[in-house]
Amino acid sequence: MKLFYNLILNTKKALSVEEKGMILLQYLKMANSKDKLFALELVIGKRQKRFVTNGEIKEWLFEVANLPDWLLEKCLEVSGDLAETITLLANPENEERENLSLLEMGKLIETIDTKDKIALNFYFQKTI
Amino acid sequence: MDMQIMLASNHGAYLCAATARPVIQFRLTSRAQIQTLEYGQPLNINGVDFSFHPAGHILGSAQVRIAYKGEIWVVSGDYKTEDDGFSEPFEPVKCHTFITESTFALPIFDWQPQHLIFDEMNNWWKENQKNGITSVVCAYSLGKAQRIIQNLDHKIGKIYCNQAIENTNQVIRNQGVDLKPTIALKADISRGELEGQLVMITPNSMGTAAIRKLRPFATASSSGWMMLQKRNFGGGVDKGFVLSDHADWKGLLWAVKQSEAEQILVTHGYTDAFAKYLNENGYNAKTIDTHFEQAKKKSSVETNPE
Repeated sequence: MKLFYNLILNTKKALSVEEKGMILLQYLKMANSKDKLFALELVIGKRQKRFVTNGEIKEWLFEVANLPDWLLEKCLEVSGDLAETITLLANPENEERENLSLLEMGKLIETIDTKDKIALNFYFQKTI
Repeated sequence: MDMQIMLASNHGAYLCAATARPVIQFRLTSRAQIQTLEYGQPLNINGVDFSFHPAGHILGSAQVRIAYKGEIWVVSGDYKTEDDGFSEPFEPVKCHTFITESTFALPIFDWQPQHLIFDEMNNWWKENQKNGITSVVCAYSLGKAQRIIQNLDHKIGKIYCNQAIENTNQVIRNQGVDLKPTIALKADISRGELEGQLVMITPNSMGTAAIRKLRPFATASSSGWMMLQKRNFGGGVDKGFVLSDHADWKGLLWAVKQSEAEQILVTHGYTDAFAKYLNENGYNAKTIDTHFEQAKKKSSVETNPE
């Protein structure tokens, strides 16, 4: 996931199409072969249909984070972004998550139904 | 920042930790009386004992311990709990009442150890150097600038500082502190000489003609607020490093616990949230406005002090 994260981060910062191309090429050289197709699909903008709403993710966050609701609301207000708040609250040293490949993450997401908290529990299991 | 406000108001007499004296003297516009104490050395004023204890914020920063007839209060001032390799490291002081700042008192503020941030900064510098461009780092002239100078890898190249930073560096070196070498950024220095080197400038010189002259360059800023994307990309810099001279959420909670205080007074920052959280976790906490915050409310100017 770290490679993919860097791919997205660096292409966002890139100033030219050539630079973006170089970054993508670099990623393809280094990435796990099973991840490459997934990554290409995502960077060209093909996305799966949204199957989890913001409201649900927020609800899960409130359930699994070991913090009072009012404090989480305050964090959301200050950060202004749900995904960012989750990222900041998650333990950066969770190696299991860092080493997760894009393919594994995809599979994990496929197993979620709307009442299932596997992914978020996984994300938060070692936090705070 | 606080010190600047304090100095601007220009009181007649100052009492400070010994290592803070030269910079305070340097920043004052008029002659003021400055009295100093070593850390831990008590001074009795009208039967009340005052002493300073390292706050780890910048060189010479201090918590103030006030003791009267066995009752002890400590005012933290700005502080951070991580040893930055330059400032005197924070020392917890046991007391009955602890007045703590709360600039970053939310769990989303969780600093990485500074060696990781400096690894990242060194790598950024090396990468720029490889591409033949100058690295421009924006930092406050007192505190952040010296912390960065001291922790960057000087084997990569030379560090140039604009006048405001270099003046402060000189004051600090003159007091016998071993600050790593820097070069004053003079107007006659050629573009070629700066290629691949690192230039430190103060926020007010960002985007000025003198800096634009350094092109091609990459800019970076360092602050705890860089933790948030909206600040990171709103500041007009290429790169944001999350480096703060204030305690993060865990640091604040640790300092509160270490004080063993019966009462916690929270000031300057996310006061309401921090006091509420402390109350829900077995502490007796209240918020308290500083003189600055009262003045700020009056003028209704919104700033993010750091």
